[in-house]
Amino acid sequence: MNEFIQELRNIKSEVYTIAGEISVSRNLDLIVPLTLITFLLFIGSFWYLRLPVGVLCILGLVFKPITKKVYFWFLLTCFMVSCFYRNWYTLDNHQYLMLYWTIALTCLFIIPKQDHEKTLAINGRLLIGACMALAFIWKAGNANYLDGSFFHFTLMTDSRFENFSHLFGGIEKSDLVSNREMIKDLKSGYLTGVASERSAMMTNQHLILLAHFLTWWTLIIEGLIAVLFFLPERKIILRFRNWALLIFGFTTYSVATVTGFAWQLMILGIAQCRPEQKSFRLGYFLVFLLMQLYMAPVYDLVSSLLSLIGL
Amino acid sequence: MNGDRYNRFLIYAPTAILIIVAAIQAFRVSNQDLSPWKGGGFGMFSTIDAPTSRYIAGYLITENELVPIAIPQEYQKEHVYVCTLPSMDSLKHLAEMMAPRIWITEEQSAAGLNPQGKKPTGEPSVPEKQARALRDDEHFPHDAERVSVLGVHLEVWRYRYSLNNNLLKAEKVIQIDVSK
Repeated sequence: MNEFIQELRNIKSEVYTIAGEISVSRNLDLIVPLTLITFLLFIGSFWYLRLPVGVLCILGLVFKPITKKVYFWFLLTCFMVSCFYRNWYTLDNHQYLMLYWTIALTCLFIIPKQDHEKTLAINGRLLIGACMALAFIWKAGNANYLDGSFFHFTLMTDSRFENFSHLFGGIEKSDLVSNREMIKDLKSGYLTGVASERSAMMTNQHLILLAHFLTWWTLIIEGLIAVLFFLPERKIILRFRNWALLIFGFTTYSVATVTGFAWQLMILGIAQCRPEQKSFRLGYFLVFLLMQLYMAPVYDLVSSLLSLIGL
Repeated sequence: MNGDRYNRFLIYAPTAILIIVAAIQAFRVSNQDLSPWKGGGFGMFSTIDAPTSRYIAGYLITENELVPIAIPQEYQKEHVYVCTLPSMDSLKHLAEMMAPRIWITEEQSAAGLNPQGKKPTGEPSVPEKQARALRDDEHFPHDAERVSVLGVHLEVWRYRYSLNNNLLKAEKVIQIDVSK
């Protein structure tokens, strides 16, 4: 028993040591491996991109010195541009963000070494601010978003939100399945001769309220992050901006599990941390790790547990 | 001095590229009906109008009727492109690829369907005969009939939803007829 307790103390000490090292690491030393891991896992499904990017990322993880060379990032940029140009209409936003980040790292290693940390910080801040500002503008400018229709529809029909809708919106899974069937019938109705152009969806008041909450929460936090990351860097702004981004990552991606985007945002978050912001650097890394937990069927497990205890 | 300017260019280039791409995307959304979910404008999760909310209804033009068809899998790439950025040119390109194909109708039992018109799983009934394209590596099935095709008619549709009336509604975007 004493040995077990001592072992636990040793593990606790190790964890604190690792956390300490992460919090005092140079941003670049933390960002490069995280970037390569993100690219390795989320660059996309085209084999002619995955192959060279995979090789480069593995080489970069194993032989760290090559990641300090401009040609390494330039090669990555070239492969990504040539693939993305052909397939632009299939790309998700996080793939565009990955490309801009690769361009930023290519440019970084052309600039004199003494300006690297400052350049990383500027790019991290501006890329976060720009993508959040654009996301805010698209949402704020769409009446169909502001009235809750988008999130209501998503909660009623998107299978990725099924357990979340069931747990927090109180809608039966059979109703969600019916909604998805309605969409399938709408799209393929012309084949079966039962074409319908209108359908009423299955919903309830709780789901509508949840949709309104998500609508405004997302709009406010994205707008807040955009403003905070573009404002001049006063101490209080720095603190609020990091909290806002961490809260955004922690909450949003527990529901919309777009891990590639989440990881890229956390990397940018680390990039813009000042050297003295040790806790935030660690915070971004921990949220980065937390995304892995979110890949587990969390809501499935919670739902099953609740069913087990009769709720 | 020039070195400073060059370094400044390198520092701000990635964000500048992001903004330029986003501006082009916004233009294409307003003028060319590009789906806001694509094109690098960060418009995902702002609208229902994703490429998956758009679909193509295809028909074979014969002498007497329009025969409904599913878009063959081999045109998946073009299908996705048309749904993302619907235009008469891209729709015509897809139709022109489909029109020269050999189209056949098969009895439902050959297609794995219940002859009474319902799928074994109880899904909605289907017409007794359904048309499809003969694959390039496929021999003509003995119980199939060739469809005498004069052309292909394609329609791009999208669905919209409003919380106000809780209605999912489909609307036609564009359509085209292409002769064989």
